[in-house]
Amino acid sequence: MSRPRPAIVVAVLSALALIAGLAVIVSAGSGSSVASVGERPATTAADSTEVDSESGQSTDPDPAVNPLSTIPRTRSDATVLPIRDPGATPRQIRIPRLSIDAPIDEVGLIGDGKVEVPRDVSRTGWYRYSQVLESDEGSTVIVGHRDGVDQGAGAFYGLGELQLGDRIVVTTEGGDRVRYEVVARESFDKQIVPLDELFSSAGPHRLTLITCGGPFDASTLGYTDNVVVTAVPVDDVATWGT
Amino acid sequence: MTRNLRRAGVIAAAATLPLGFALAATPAMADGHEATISVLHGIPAGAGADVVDVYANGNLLIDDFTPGTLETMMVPEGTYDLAVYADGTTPDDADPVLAADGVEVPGGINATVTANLDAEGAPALNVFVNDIEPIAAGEARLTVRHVAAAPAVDVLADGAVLFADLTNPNQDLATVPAGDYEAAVNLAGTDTTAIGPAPVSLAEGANTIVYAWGSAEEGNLALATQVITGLGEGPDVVPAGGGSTTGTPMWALALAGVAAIGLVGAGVRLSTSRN
Repeated sequence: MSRPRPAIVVAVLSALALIAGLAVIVSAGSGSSVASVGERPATTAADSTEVDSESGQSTDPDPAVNPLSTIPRTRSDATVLPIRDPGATPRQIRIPRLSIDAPIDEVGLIGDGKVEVPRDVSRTGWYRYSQVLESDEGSTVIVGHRDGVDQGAGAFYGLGELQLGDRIVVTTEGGDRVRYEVVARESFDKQIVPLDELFSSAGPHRLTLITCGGPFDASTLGYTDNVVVTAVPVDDVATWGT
Repeated sequence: MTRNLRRAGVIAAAATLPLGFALAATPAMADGHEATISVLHGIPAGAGADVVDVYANGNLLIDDFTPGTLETMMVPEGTYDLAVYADGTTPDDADPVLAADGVEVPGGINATVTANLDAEGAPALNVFVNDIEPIAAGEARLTVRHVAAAPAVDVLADGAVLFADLTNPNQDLATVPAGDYEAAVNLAGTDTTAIGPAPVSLAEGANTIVYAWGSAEEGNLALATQVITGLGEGPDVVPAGGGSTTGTPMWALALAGVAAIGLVGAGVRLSTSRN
């Protein structure tokens, strides 16, 4: 049996490497993709309407007598004005499974509806128009780079490896440590990622972590996908199945 | 502050008017056969309506409703006769404190019914349609409604007049950057502050509805709020890869580069080896 000639080995390895390299670069434009584990809480208005046990329900509980007696409703004290607590601004995020302990900056929009992401890939950004921690409802959005060509792996490089039930601890401006538990991990093609839901001010309070993932698209100089992890306050996990 | 892009016309009507008007339908809800209705008890304590029950078509809708509270519910579309009774009385044994017959509620609408004082201090019912049109990322909608026994007012945000000359029972609205503001209500055209200034946070993607309620004569003018969340369109993109600020990952370029060099080299070797 003759040993393969070195030239052929080089050719085969080169071909494989070329295919792998090109696959990474060229696979842009392959159709939209969604991959998910777990389930995000719903954000529609109807779903966020809960029966308030303290509200004055009808004294005619039989729907045949009073069809309005069973409709869900919420009652609130309208005299309390909504005021965001600056002390609940997120400042540091720790994810034990990934050995992440990263500072959180405040970020906004940089024109054309593009969310600002900290240039230093070791830092993360709290989208300042989203909710603060310990809010009654809505999404607290924290974004972070997967990597940077000149900086290596970013704070959220391993986000796609998080498992359901993993803990995330976020420290507030006021020094509180708020514990969250992962309830969903999803990967969306950027063409279809539901940012309006992920950033929604409605629905149960949740922590939404977003980075990039999927193949690299040379035509746009970015990854094709967004990796999204949704976590809820540990005390709230029992309120919906995962 | 960015000034409004859109201003709403007045969509309120006093309960003393015939209420056979149809609320303008909005296209926001897909199922279309239910409406989101909120009811605000905006008659201050001591005006004879401290605890009331609200009836719709003769059926109890809200029990033991007190001043300053808001109740929100989904109701089937239809035409409603609304009536407010003092606690302890019913349609069977008393006349309502307030009533509005024939209120048409189309499916998909989001509206608020207010029990409040009119400009002269008499109890009144009003119906306002809530704007639930989508809101761009980073923006908030502010709606202000005058349901107080008070003359015309100016509404100030961070010291600047945002809405001028607002009268009971009318509303005005604007789209502003989401964030924290100091809200105040002045007597129209004056520097006399009637309410506030009070801090209020306007959330992105939400319609924050602020009610000026109470009575100037009784000295209990105040603000109340209702927040309708979930209207935000969200941003367009989260560029969190190495991409937008950098370039193709080094390892991908390196891999492709090695491959290209390798193939060229191999081709040369293969061709030479045939000799």
